[in-house]
Amino acid sequence: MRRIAGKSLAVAALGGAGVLASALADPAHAMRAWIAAYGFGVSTALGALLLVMIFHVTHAAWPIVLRPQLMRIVATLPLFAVLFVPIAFGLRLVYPWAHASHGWNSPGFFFGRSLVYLGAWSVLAIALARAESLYARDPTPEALLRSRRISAGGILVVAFTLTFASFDWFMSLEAGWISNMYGLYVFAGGLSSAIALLTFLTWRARRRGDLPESVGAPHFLALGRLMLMAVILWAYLAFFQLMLMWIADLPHEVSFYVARSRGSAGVMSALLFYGHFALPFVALLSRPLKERKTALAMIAAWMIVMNAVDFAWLVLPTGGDHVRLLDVSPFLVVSGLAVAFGAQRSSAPTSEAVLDRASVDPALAESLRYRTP
Amino acid sequence: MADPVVIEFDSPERITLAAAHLRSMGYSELEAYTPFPMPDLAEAIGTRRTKLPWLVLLGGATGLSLAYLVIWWTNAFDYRLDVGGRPYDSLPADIPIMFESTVLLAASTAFLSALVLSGLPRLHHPVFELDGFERTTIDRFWITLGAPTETGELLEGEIRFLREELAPFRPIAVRDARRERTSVLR
Repeated sequence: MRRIAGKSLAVAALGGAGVLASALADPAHAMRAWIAAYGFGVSTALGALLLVMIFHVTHAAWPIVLRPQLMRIVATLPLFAVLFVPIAFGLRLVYPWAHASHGWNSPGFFFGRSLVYLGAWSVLAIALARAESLYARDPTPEALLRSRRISAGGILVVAFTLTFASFDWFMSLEAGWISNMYGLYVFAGGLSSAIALLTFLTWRARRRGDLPESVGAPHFLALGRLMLMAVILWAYLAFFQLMLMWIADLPHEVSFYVARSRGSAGVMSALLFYGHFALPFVALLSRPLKERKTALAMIAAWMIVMNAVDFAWLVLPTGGDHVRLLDVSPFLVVSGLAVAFGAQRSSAPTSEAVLDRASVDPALAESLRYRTP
Repeated sequence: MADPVVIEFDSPERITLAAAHLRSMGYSELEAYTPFPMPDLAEAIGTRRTKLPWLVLLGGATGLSLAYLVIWWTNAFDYRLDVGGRPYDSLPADIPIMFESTVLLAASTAFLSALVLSGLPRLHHPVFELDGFERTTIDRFWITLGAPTETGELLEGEIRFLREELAPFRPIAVRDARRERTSVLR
């Protein structure tokens, strides 16, 4: 656990040097890159938060053994309140409305709303982690009910805050451009990388022997099906946003796509079509592939990278300039810090501990026995 | 034609072990009847994976290309339609229809192939006539198998052999079902 934290902090430091160099050369561009990386990280953590709440509310039995892995992603949410600080300071560099003194989009109201979003997510993440550790100490139905109650209300809260946060933080970069489904689009991207990250963490834990042997092909097949669902959901939303704007052909709407049809942004558009949709879609159709742990984990890693590209595509072209190599650095900072933070904040149990708990927790035992219906 | 040999159990664990043992002895054409789905047993009797996904893929691909062909033929080739100055052959506008007909043909292929591949709509099967078959929907577990020979004495020898072989798995009965099957015919 320590080693991974140390390594990812080193990656974050390397990225930090890149961010510094980039900020000295072109502060506005560096700010946009930071916002893109922030969006990548926070959307993944929120996807995990929604996923764990959906599992609680629907009484999902099979992912119970994977929940500690999922909760490690959720546990990074408070970190994103800290990572927001550079955006607060760099507001005037990138947001076209940052000089307004009143109205919906004015710095004061913007900070207030952002505080509400970040506060709500951190509170939910901490409350769920508490309920989880209460349940770990004493696996009773009452302890589980606590998680379910938090989740039932939490889904509503996150649905609204996530939508408004993506309007405020990302969509408002684009002066005068409006898309109603933007919040859903951000959610779909975050969900796909959250499920992919869960798959990756599960594969890693299984390889290190932190999960028992009985977490096998059926569990990975189930994760693979969720990944396929997320890929399709993202593609569906991405396409319909494009199609509706393309068919209406209004200048203030299509400007978004015109800016992303040329140069390095155009390359990213093509990469997103093939890499975020076509490749994982075709690959994940195969059942034998979904049952092969390592192959599935590699696709999962690819999907996480694609969510990063997606946010770079959303945010970077708003300034009209090209993507640079140094734009990778804020992504290294955000993911390095998030991995280190997640590894420190919560530890996933070992294989023996899982088996011990399964003897007192029938739900966990059932999750271990899960077979594809 | 139902399989002539019926082996009856009252335990889901033992039937699965017995099925694995039968397979290791070289019996390959096994069929099982149980009150609830048993994935482990399905694996033990060597159920092959269905070809259905490939048929569905074929159905979906047909729907996709058929829809595009129709739209292209009507709007871009046979009767060119100018919609707000867009190109005659505009893929983004076609995709919703192509998507819908992909789903339509894939889903109907899945529905119809599942029926046909599982032998439906078949209203009767000889196994229904066997004594006690209704218990396989309540608390009994059956394996049926076709013996290599289906003629009289040899089959009796086969059944004696199976009784000895399967004794550790404590089946309730190993019986020759052919004699029970004639009732309806008379």
